[in-house]
Amino acid sequence: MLSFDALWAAAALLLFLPFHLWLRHRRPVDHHVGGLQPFQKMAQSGSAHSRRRPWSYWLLLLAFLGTTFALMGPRGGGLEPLLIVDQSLSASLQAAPAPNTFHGETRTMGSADEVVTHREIFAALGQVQPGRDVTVWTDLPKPMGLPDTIDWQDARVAEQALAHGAILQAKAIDRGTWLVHWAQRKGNDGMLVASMDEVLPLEGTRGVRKLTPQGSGRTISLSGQGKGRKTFQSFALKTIGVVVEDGMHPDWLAVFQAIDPNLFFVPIVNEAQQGIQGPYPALSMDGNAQPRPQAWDDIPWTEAPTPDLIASLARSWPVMAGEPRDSREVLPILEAPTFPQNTMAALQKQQGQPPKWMTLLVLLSGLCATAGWLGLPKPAYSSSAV
Amino acid sequence: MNSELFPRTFFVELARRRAAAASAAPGQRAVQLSGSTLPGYERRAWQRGDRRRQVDWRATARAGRTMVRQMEHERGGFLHLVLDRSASQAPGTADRDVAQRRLALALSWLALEDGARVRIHAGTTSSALFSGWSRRAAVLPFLRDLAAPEGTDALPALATRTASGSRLHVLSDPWLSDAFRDDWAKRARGFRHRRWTSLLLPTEVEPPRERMQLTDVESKQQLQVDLTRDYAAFRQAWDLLTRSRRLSLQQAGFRPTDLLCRSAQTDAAALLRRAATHAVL
Repeated sequence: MLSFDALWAAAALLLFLPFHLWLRHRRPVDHHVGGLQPFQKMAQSGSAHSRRRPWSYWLLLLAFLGTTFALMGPRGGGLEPLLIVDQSLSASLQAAPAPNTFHGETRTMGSADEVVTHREIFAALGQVQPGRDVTVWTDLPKPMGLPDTIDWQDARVAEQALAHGAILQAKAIDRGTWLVHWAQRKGNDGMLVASMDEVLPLEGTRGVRKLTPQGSGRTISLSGQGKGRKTFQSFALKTIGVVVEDGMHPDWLAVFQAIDPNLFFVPIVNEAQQGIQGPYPALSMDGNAQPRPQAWDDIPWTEAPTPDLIASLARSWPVMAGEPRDSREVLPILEAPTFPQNTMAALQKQQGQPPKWMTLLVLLSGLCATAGWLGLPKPAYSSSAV
Repeated sequence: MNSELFPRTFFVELARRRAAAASAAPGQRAVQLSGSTLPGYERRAWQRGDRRRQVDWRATARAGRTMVRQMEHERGGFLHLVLDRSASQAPGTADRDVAQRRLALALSWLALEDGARVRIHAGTTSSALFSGWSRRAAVLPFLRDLAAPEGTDALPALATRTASGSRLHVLSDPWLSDAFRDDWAKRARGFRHRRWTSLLLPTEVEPPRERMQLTDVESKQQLQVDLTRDYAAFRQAWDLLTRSRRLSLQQAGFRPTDLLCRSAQTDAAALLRRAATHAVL
């Protein structure tokens, strides 16, 4: 749907009225005579087409209409609305927009492994066609100074419900010892709690601590306190088991142990009891069968491991794979940034600009009309009546 | 139509012209003259020697006795009034057409009152003979019912032999070509008195000083001129055309007169006064 920034500029069309009347006044007056003898020597050319308006008139009218249209500031230009959806980890945890409720183009940004920040969204907005209506769905706070054409749907949960700290990753480095990556908001007095006897106060905003959870809980917690409100986030350590069979080369067990010192091996006694079916080795997590990594199909388990095969196994290890979670995702920023002035100026400048073809048309029309008024090219003199 | 074409002021002025003409010749007035040439308006009782064709049967029925139309004497000669009825007579305005009809009526009226016979040639198709003092009133409906000017220049063919004292008066516009005028003038040599009155419109004498798209109403040719710039050239061409026209008419034995036709609505009486001033009437 075509809309205009300055619809009042359509009033400029009225300016053409006095110009049109002036042209009518300048137009030759129809005069019927009984004879043409005394006028023959002063005849002008073009008499046969005098009823038609000169081509320069139509060009000028076209230029005038184009200028008026540009003054009105057309927006949209028939472009369908655009929905930018933040699909990063933190945003995907919120209620996503129903796909059927939006009619227009949808673009997604980020993923569970790809962080989306204001910078990425601003970059995407800078590439949107000028004047196009855009809706941004994200859990990032709405920036200040946002243009009117951008609808920022803030999908964040209430600020009070946001965690003050988070455990980014917990990785076993030794049997019973875990390496914990943590992060907390500035000003938060957080603590890592592995057991009643092991409470580690945290300093700074992020860091790595070694913990040795005791007992069978295998749970690490991060408590935080900020602005008088306590939050508590738990991180359950996964117990990974590898179901092995007798035919495997024994060195592979050492490799598994090196990758994850906390794992345990499950010998096959009865497939039905284990609930796990071949091929082997297979994975279980907290006693539940897990999908076997595809890379394991290419590993000759009966042969001794080679460095390449070990690396392949390490890459496919579900806990070992990947980096610690990005703190920007688990601890969303609270401060709303300001929409960059250069992007906003570019958008506003583009909104006020007519399409290039129209600008070119207006310029050409104006030039041609001027040439027409000046009588260029000069017509050949003709005294013959039509 | 009567009141528009021939308003009351026209007849008042016409009567004034007639009175002025009569006063110029003491003793003259508009009366019928008894004679034997023409059946007149007056009736009288039948007398021995009257012809049967003189009997006015309608008057006889009214009077209860045999009545005859009294014969009048035609003494004013024969006026051939030629009206140019080409389209150039009314180029965009009917002022000249109206003026022509008014002048034709005035000329006919005065001639008939003088005892002349009048034949009006309107273009090439319409012609009528009027004779007798009483026939004045018949001229008006004839002129009133003339068709609007149309077509190109075409003047009637006149009799090569004309009666003694026949006069020719042409009421035309200034747009006859020299060749056409000369050709037709040759055929008018049988007339002893020849007058040619060119009726001019004010816009022809002094066209507006502006850019104009001219259209010849006869040939439909078009021409674009800019008189804001070329007015002097036009005046020069117009004066040359006027002198040429008058000269050629004079050479053909005509007495040329140019008469201005102003707005038909207000020019009824003034037209007759100007015509009298220029001795057209």
